[in-house]
Amino acid sequence: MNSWLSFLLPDDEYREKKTLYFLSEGSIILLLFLSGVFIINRYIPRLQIDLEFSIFIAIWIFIGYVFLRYIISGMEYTDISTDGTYKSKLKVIIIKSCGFVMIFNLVYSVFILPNSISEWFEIIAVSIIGGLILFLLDYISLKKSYKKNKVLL
Amino acid sequence: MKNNVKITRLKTSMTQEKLARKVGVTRQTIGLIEKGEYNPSLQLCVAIAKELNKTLDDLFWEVEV
Repeated sequence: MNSWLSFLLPDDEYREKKTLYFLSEGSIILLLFLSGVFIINRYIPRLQIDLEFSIFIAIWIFIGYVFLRYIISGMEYTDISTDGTYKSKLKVIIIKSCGFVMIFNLVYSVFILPNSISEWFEIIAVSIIGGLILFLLDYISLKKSYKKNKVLL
Repeated sequence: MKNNVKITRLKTSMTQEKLARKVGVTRQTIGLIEKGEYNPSLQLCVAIAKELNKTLDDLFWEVEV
C-alpha cells in the first residue's frame, strides 16, 4: 500500500501495523480534545481558552500519546531476548544518556556562554534532567521489549 | 490464529532469527506469529511457507479433529 506516510513507518509489518494503530488512536484523541476546546470556546465564553495554549497542548497530546504507546508496546528492541543482550544494551543506554548530558553542556557553552555560576548550575541541571528522562524512556522501552521477547523464544 | 510454524521451523533446525532475516521481518514478529498473537499478511504467510518448504495449508490451515 502506498501512502506519503510510508517513509515514517517501520519496514517490519507487525511494527508498521502497530505504529499505524498508535497514530490513529492519537488522532482520535486529538480530535476529541480539539472538539472539546471548540465547544468550550463557542458555548462557555467565561471559560475562554487561549488559542496558542490549546494548540501547544494539542500537539503534545498527540506526540506524547503516540510516543508513550510506542515505548510501552515493547517493540523497539526486537532482538533483546537474553540476559546478556539485555545487560549490554542497558550499558549502551547509560552511555547514550551520559553522552547526551555532556554534548548538551558542550554545545550550550559554545553558543551561549553562561555569565555566572548560577547560570552554569541551571544549564547543568537542565541537561541532567534531560539525560535522566532520556534514560528513563529508553530503560522502560528496553525492559518492556526484553519481557515481551523472552516469552516469544 | 493457531499455526504450525514453530513445529515446522524446529524440524528444519532453523532459528527464529534466521527465518526472520530470510522473510524480511524482525525476530519478534516471527515469535508473535508462532504464538498465535499476530496474524501475518498473506504475503508474509507465503514467504514463510516458501522458506520452510511447506504449503500454506501445512502451516496455517486448522484441521478439526
